[in-house]
Amino acid sequence: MTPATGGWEVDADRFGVVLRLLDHQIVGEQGQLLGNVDDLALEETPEGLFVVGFLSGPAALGGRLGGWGGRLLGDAWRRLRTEPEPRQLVVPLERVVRLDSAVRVDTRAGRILAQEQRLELWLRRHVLARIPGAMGGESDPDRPDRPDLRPADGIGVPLRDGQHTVSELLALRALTSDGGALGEVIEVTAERVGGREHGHGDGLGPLRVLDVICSPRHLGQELGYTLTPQGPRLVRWLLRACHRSDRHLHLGDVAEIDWERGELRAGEYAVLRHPHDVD
Amino acid sequence: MKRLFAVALGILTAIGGFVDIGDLVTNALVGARFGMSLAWVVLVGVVGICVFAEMSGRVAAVSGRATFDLVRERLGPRAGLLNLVGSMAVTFLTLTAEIGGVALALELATSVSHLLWVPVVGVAVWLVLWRVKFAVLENVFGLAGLALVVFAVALWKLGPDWGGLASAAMHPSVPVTEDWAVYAYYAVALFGAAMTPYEVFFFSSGGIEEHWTPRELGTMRANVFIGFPLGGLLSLSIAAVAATVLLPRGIEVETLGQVALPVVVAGGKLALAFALLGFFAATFGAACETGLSVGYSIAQYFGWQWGKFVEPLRAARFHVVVVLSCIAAVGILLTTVDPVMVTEYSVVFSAIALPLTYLPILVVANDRTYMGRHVNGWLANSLGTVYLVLVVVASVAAIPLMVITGAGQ
Amino acid sequence: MGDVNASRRAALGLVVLAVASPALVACGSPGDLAAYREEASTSVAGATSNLATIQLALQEWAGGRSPSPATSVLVGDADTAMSGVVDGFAALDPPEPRADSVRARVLPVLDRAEQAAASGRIALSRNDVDAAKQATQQMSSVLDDLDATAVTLR
Repeated sequence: MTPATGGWEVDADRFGVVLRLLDHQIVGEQGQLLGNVDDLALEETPEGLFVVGFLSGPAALGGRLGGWGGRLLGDAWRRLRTEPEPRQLVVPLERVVRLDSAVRVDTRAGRILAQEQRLELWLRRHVLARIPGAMGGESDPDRPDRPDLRPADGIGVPLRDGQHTVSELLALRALTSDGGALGEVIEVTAERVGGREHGHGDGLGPLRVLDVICSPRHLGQELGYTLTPQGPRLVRWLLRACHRSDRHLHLGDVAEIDWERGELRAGEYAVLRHPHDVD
Repeated sequence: MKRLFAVALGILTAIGGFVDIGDLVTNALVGARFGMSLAWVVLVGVVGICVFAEMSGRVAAVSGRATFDLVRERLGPRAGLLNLVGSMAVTFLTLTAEIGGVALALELATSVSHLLWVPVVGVAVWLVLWRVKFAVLENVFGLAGLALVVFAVALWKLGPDWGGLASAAMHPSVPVTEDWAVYAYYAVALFGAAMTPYEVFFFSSGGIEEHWTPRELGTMRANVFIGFPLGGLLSLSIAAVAATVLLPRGIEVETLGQVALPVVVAGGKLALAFALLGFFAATFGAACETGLSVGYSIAQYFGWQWGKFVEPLRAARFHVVVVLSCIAAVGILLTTVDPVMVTEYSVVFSAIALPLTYLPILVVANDRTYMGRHVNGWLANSLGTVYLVLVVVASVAAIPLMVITGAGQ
Repeated sequence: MGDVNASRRAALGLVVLAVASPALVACGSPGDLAAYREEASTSVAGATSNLATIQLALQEWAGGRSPSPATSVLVGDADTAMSGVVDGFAALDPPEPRADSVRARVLPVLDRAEQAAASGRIALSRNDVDAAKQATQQMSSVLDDLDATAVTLR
């Protein structure tokens, strides 16, 4: 049932979070399709800024879309929930067992994510189940009405108040130390600090944010040309021309991130180069 | 032997599945009006669909990601959503046209009004999408669609002035009675008919339904590079019989019956029976493909479970979208709108929506992290770039041409 | 204040122009006759297309080479379209006296085409092969007239 993969995995030591994680398909252990990575949760600690988990579902997607359409999506999500003040669930990156063209999660995370899809469950129970022939008869470990699928220990923690999201980071206005505009953050690179290699279990684990790329233009942000030039010459040339004022900024060179005002200020000695000129 | 059979079957279904209501109507219409002077567009369109279908099939086989997954991950949620709305609207319009086409084919066979057939066809399409296995669906309608070969046979029996047809095809020019803008408008329409975006959604998602791996790349390429061009030849023979029989009599194609008329002239009742079977299979198969494609694209954008490789209950949202689009298409047709007119608009809107899907495919086919050694070579990239430009030009030109010519009047 | 008034006047002018321009085009400009002729030419082409379709379908049917259901659909659709073409042109008022001659030339031919189509349709519904053959012969002469009319309109 699992769609084929070429056997590769995303390189662990430094990759673009927007390119390789955000908006990717989430796949469960049996190959179930469980949603997309609609946003990522960030945590600020004294050791730095970390990507700790992902969010999936209409609320997170609504936030990314913005505008009235996005609000409508978020409101619709809230209506479909039973609890008085619904919070979005963060699935910790420890639950990601593999990162390739999809984000593959372990069984428990898979069950939680399946439980979170209220519209799907509602349609299954009230519409599809009434049509003859809805069940193909294959064994089904995740039958939606199994009782033991409630959120459990440490998986699917609600998004906490102190946490930020990558979409907030991507909306930050970047400024030089003397107040010059660098545009907005369009890509974030990160490295793996948990997981197998670091003795933290099998999962991908939290990712330490290394650099941000700022640009006055969002066009083609996720196409994959921000960090490395590749692909057909015409597309490469057009995107390079459009993104010639992109600037790479090491997170260590950032003087401060003001989440309230939505600003990121580079330090006085920050090195600002085009991301293609950074090795 | 078994493998050879699989390859042959794939090629045959690709030929039969290539032609849909858009190709039938547009090719006959253009053949009856412009002769073979627009044949070059079919050629350009067929090469284009080969380039992009191969690319999207390769990406699906190697990375396991279908086209709208790529649209979402490479264009982000906002541009992706705009793309989704545009592509879904066009695919839905095509679904409407295909269901109308099936109803028209049944009307020709029974002389019962197509409006009475429309709800029956809508239910039948949904039933097939609900219960019939993916491979069965693809093979049965693809093979039955081969009945359209009767158009090539009819052309040979009509014994046309081959030299005249060939020289008109080789030296394209605007006929003296026609305006250049009308000529260009129909060029865009033919291009859109040959390269409809749903073919790529369906082809790549179908690859995942059938669990392609890099090992299946050879089979996939054989289907694309042999099947599609032969399907293109079928399109050309539809245009050529129209140019031979209808053009000299001043007949303009406005109904599906007129598309079949040259076949009757060439081969009588038996030939007509084959043509009607071909119409039915080609449009019914395409109705299933477009119905699925509407579901594929929205489910892939949101990350929902999709596909016929799981039991329907497990892909509830996907199946609900499919049902709703069948109902809506039937509803539109019951307003008594002319299905042939819907088809004419659907191919032009297809041309407009083309760049939306092709750019992300081209970009991902170049991503070494995903594709490894299956990344685009120089040939795929040069052709891909040329077609990206062509597709953008056709897309930009479509609306102004539609306005100037009053939709080809 | 003066600025506001000026811009209001400009806006009003634009509105008037927008409302009036179709009317201006519609009454008595030199393009009118040409547009009418164009319309006549399109109608003749449409009638030719539909009549030729009916003729071809009936010939095949009378020769036993086309089944009745498909033929009746083909003939029925073309006959309906023919009525639309003829009625559409008949409903157009000739814009000026010079256009009367165009109307006088075109309308009778279109009427004959419509009648020929109807006689073909009737023969088919009566399953009368001989009448159908006769109707197709009549159609040939009407088609010749349509062609001749089309040439004069060019």
